[in-house]
Amino acid sequence: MKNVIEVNNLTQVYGQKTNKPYKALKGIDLQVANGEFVAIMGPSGSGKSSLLNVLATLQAPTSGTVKVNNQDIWQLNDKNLAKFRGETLGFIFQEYNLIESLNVFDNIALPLSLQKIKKAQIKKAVHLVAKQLNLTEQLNKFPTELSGGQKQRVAAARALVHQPSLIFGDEPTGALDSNNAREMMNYLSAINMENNISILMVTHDAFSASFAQKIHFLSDGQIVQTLERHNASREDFYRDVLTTLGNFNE
Amino acid sequence: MLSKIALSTIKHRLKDFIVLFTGLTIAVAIFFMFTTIANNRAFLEANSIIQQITLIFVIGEFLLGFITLIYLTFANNFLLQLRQREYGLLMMYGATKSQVSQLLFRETLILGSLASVVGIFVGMALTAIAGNVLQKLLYLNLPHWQFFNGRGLIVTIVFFAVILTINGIWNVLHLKRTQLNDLLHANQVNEKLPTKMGRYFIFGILGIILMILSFIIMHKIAQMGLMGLILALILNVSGTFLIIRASLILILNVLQKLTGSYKGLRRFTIGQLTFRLSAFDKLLTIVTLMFALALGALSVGRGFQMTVPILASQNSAYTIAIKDPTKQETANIDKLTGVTFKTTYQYKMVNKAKLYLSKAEFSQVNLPVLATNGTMQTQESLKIPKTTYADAKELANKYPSALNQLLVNITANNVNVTANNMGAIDASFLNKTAFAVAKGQSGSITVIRVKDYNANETTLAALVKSQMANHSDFSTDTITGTYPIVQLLRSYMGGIEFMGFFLAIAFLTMLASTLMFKVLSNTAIDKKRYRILSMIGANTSLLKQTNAKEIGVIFGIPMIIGFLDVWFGLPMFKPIMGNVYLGFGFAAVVVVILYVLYYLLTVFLYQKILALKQKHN
Ligand SMILES: Nc1ncnc2c1ncn2[C@@H]1O[C@H](COP(=O)(O)OP(=O)(O)OP(=O)(O)O)[C@@H](O)[C@H]1O
Ligand SMILES: [Mg+2]
Repeated sequence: MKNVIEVNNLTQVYGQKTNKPYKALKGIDLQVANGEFVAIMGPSGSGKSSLLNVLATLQAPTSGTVKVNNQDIWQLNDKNLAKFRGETLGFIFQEYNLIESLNVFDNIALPLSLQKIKKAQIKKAVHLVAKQLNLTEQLNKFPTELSGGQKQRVAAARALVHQPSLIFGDEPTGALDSNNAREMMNYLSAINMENNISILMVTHDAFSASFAQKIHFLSDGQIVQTLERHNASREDFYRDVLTTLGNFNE
Repeated sequence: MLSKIALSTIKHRLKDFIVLFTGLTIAVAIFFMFTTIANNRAFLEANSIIQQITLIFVIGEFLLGFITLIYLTFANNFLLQLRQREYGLLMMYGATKSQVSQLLFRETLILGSLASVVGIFVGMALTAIAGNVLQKLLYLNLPHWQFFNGRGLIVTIVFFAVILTINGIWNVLHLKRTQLNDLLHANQVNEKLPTKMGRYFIFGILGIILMILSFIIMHKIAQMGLMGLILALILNVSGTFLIIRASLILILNVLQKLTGSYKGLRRFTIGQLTFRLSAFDKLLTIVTLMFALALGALSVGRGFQMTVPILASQNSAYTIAIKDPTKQETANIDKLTGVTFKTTYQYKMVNKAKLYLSKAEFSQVNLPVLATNGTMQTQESLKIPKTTYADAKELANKYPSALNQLLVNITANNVNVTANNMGAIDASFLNKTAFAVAKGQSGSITVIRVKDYNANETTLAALVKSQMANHSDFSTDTITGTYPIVQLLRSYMGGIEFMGFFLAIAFLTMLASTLMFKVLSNTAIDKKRYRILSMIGANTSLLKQTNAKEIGVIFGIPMIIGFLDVWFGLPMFKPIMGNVYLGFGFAAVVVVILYVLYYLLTVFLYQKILALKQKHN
């Protein structure tokens, strides 16, 4: 199987110029296969967000390579990097990251408008994804008029509207209650399976992680264990995750 | 303990507090600057040809008070926004509401009084510097000028004490009414959702009507007097407010519907502007006002400044005439630079009753004259004629004022050649021999023309001074030539000229601090938005462009409305100015250049704070 993401010996050092540099990532190797749903777990401060930010091109690494679809992303110039982000990636973060000065429709349409897509096509795509995420009623509202779960769904809609091949999530259920969280995870695993979109998600929540096919455990800037679901049911996998986390805490 | 925590959080957000403090200080300083002049009645009355000048300054004081009041409300909201989350946290840890309220009240007052004290000193310095430098630049020496007066100080202190106290009380009430939860999430309260389009339509049209009405009244101000001025002001301010609040949002929406474009970040820009315009309605109104006041004041000031040399050059063909130059005066004359004409005529005077001039001297060397165009002397036709005159009579007939001025100078205002010896002194031209034998006190007058009298300012001033000292019968209008006329005009128009420039400086400074302060207070919200856009695939140059465009529109609106205001408002000065638009071109160029520089600085700072740069290793 082809890999969407290939990470080699990635390190991230913060405060390099100060007298107290801090190694947040200490040589990470990681692959995500095409169409795979991968979660990353680990205690607070273990480097999860740092890893995701580098993969998502939001922050340059100190050393190591990141290849997405065989392209070394940190060799791209700013313009191409932005284009790559716009066309290939989708982001769902813990804070909903919506733009308050745009209504829901315009928020969802943003990635498409940046790609110079025709108006009619934009409308079609937005309505389609809004329908899938049960947002049709909310399209004319502004973000401040929405509930937390609705906002997160809008964020998801915006991440999906341009049909990216890869979605990044940093605690995408972090601000949701358990019902909303379950709904969001169901939706993510559905688009993962139906549309063959790869997902890489950081979470501290075992329940959310159990929707993935593979979980990497990060500790002190290194991957210390990997758990694979294989053909187990989600419930069984959830139990495995909890056991593994329990072992960590001992 | 609580104060200690409060103090430590101030340290934490030092940058924001510095912005706030600077803004407050400038507001106080400008208020002081204006108030000092407005309360210097002797200065106003001695230096203005506008009769109701004191009253106009009182209206101006109210206007500035209004602007400052709105400005202080922004500053106060900014402070509240800065602090309420922290106060919410303090309350979560067990501080009572009244403890926190007291803290906030104290904080408002301390910050306000510190800014007031510093502001008054800055204001004094600004007034002194602006005042002295301007008078130097404009070659003025205005009577009763002071950079400080007690009344101005008291008015400033009372004004700010009252408003700060009201602000403090308002903050406390606000805190009392607000739920703890809202305090904790109080980061983005300053943006309002746009309301229904129907309302924008009604208010939008109304705004435009009010604005047009105010222009009509300004045009007819001569008939309406002071009440008209106040009415025009009220209509204009409310019209501006409604136009910003409604008409522009309406236009944006129509624009959006018409193009229906989703290309790039156009919708983002329109969305941002729709939000910003409703959040900035009051701000942009007062910025428009300040822009118009600055541009208008500078236009009038410059207009008067330009009138002086034009009037002077229409009144005399030479720069100065020196009667009976002393040794020291001769030395001074030699010091003059750019001399294009210099000649000396002899005269003889008998008992201050009879004056003899040598005909030959006038036919050998030409007196520079103003060529006449009909009866009007025009600046353009100014020349030193090439042909010589058969005798002085011809000169007197052809260019009566040229000779007249010279005779006035010689006889200390006692002769009028056109009236043909109707004056106290009888003047006549003798031929060479007759002049040589004529009895009487002999003397000479030296007529000088220089290219640029400003370049010779000190020497010319010294000459005027020594002429006045040497000739007890001279009065201010006895010494003839453009330079003495310039001096005369300066004493007559210099006051208005000075006030125009001075007020322009004050309003531009205040405008700068207001606009930058408010625009920059949005960076926290926008930082997040631009980060999202960059995640979605907007590249850095597109983001920078989008940001510059948005700020550009925010800056552009006050400029456009301000220009309209001034264009339609300047005719109000018709009674005291020949051509009301004379100084407009200069003022427009200066104000626009400063404004654009100021825009570029704001964009630069904004983008620096937003950190619109890809971190690439
Ligand atoms: N910009 C930064 N500058 C300096 N140190 C940083 C920076 N960002 C993160 N760190 C440090 O790097 C380490 C890893 O941070 P990171 O945000 O990746 O952790 P995380 O696993 O996402 O934690 P959490 O679950 O709490 O979100 C932490 O010790 C953090 O203090
Ligand atoms: Mg994190």
